[in-house]
Amino acid sequence: MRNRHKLILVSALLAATVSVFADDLIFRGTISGEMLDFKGLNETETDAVKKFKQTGVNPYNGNAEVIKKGESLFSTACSGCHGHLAEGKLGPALSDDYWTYPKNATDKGLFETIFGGAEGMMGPQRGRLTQDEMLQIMSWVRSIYQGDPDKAKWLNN
Amino acid sequence: MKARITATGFAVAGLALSAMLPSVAAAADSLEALGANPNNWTMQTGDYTGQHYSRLSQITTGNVKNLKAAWSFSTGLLHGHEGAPLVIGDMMYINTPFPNNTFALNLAEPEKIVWQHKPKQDASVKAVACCDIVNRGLAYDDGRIFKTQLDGHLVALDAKTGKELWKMENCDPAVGSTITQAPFAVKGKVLVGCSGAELGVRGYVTAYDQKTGELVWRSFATGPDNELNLSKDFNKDNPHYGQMGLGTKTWEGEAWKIGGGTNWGWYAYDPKLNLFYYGSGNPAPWNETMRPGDNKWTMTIWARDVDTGAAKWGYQKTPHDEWDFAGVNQMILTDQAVNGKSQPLLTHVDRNGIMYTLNRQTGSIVQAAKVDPAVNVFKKVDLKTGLPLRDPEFSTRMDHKGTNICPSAMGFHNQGLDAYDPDSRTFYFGLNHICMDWEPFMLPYRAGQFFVGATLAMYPGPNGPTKKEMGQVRAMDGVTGEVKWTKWEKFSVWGGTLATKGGLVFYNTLDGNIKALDKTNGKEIWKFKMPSGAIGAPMSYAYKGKQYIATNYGVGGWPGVGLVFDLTDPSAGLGAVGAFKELQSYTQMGGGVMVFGL
Repeated sequence: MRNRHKLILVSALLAATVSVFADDLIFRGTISGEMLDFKGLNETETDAVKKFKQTGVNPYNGNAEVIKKGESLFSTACSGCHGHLAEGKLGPALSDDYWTYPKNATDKGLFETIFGGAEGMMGPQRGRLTQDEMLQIMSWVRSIYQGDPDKAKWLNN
Repeated sequence: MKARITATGFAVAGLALSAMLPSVAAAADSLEALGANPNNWTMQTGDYTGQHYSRLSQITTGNVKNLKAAWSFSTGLLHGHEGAPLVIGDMMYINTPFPNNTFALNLAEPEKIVWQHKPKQDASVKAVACCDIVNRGLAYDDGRIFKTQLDGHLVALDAKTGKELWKMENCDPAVGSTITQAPFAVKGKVLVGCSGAELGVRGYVTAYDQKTGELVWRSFATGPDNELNLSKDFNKDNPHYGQMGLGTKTWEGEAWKIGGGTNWGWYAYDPKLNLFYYGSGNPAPWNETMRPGDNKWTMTIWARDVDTGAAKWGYQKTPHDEWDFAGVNQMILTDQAVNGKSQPLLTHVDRNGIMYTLNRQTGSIVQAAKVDPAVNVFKKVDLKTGLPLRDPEFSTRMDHKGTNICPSAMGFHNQGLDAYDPDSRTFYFGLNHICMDWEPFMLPYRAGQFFVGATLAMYPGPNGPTKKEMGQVRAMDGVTGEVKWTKWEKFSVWGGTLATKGGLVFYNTLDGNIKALDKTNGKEIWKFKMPSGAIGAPMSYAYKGKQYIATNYGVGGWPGVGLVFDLTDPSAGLGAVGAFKELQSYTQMGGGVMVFGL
């Protein structure tokens, strides 16, 4: 078990020089459908980001400390359009179970929409937020969910 | 030679002339000469006075019923198309929202695009544009087209070929600063500001050399006096407006550095006084509790020397804003009699619902009248002190949800360009009639991210005939404040109005009609339904002896954000989206130009 962990760590270090891990999931733009480009980002990928890219599961979900940071980030990066409590303003509410893009009900889909942008004023956040910050914000958005628990697809990943 | 060109007025000759006389003085003359010819439409505001008035009279109240679509042009883009095309001689220049493509058409053969300029911009700038990805149009002078890009650049193109002559970064999108404004060409310079008060951007106006793109001067809206660029005798005629040191003293600590006051609206210019006029926008953040003080000089009407940028006077309309009444709206210059004596005047309808008329030489207030009695944030403006008298019931503060506040954050007037008819001395204002609920919240500042801190819901104001109207066209006297007539509209009259010598007032509606009213009584005598709603004002030009009305269409902007939003979402009931939710039953997104002739 311990050895396997070590192995993953070593292979992760080796792979860090390559832009895409061999076993990373494929992330696609919500509108374009094209593969998202993670090259040329001015950031170091955190462990959480690396893990997320392999599993599509946000490791920050349920982490109270990170959720708090995510709320603060949301207030500046997102609340201008989505509202203070993600209740919807210029952009849609994010706390209910209706999604403009149904795939946003999964963490992978929500990340793709945030990173690569969508229609209208939802510009890509690539380069404006780090990928780790996006995951932090997503953990807060999931934490305030008020919709039908059966529709919370990210819990069933 | 010059006199003949002014008389016959064909811009082709004007272009040749400016090419032969490349001096800066000749360039200014050339633009004014081109503008003096009513066949041309040389700037967004119509001319330097900002009267947005056409002296063409072929289309009249009698024959406008025969006005028909002559030709149209699709820009290939959706989103809000603010501004209007320019016409200089036989060329029409068209601009678009992001990615800010520009097209040149020859009026002899408008089927064919003469040249097109399509800049490549990083799409992430869309994420920091507050209210759709609009652009308010082009400027022209001395054979050059000046355009702005959402990513903060000011660009000069060769008007003949579309070739890029120079490109300057004026606003930094990394801190949330973008450009949606139309540049303003005057005296060999191009003036331009930035957007971004919603992201805590500190406002400034900058002059660039038309030929080289070199920065000539830059004047800020907040901060120390030298950066505000105040002249030594600033506000000498009205010292009670405030003079030195206030750009820092009226803020807590260094809040002025992230205090907003960006200018993204319109300019006007008085060649006799050598002054230009514009308004600085709202302070940041919207949450007033986070920024004690008057927050000077946001929300200010500025008069600055066009050569140096030095401020001669400044009048702050809304000290310590509580409602996002960004003070950037159009300035209209007229000369009219006040108490029997002719005065150089400036008239401005602010977002706060007050129509201000000032003496543009001194800054002294002549009139401050509500454009609609629904305005409740102020009881009145004290003409002696210049200060608004607030109604505390409609103030906003932390831990309080304000309700039925009029106007809404959109203002009773926004970015529209309105017309003044010099014959009848009448303004025709395109207005919003929308009120709101407002609830502030606290948030930190982060460069390049939104710095707003308020939650809003908007809905129709109380005074429409069915209480559901959200817009009106209103004919007013700028000196007395008297209302001559009102034409109500279901939605905001966002783009403003065009008045013509033919006795007509043209305007667009959000649901896609272009309409003509009789200027004497506001009676609707013509309309045409366009492919999409319109948020700019129409313009008029003549080609080969025939008058045309042209306009951009393409719904969007702040009132149209709902249409680019998924309206089946049950949460689509707040803010602008809620107020304009019904718009989807009338029009959908589109983008282009329509041209009408008899």
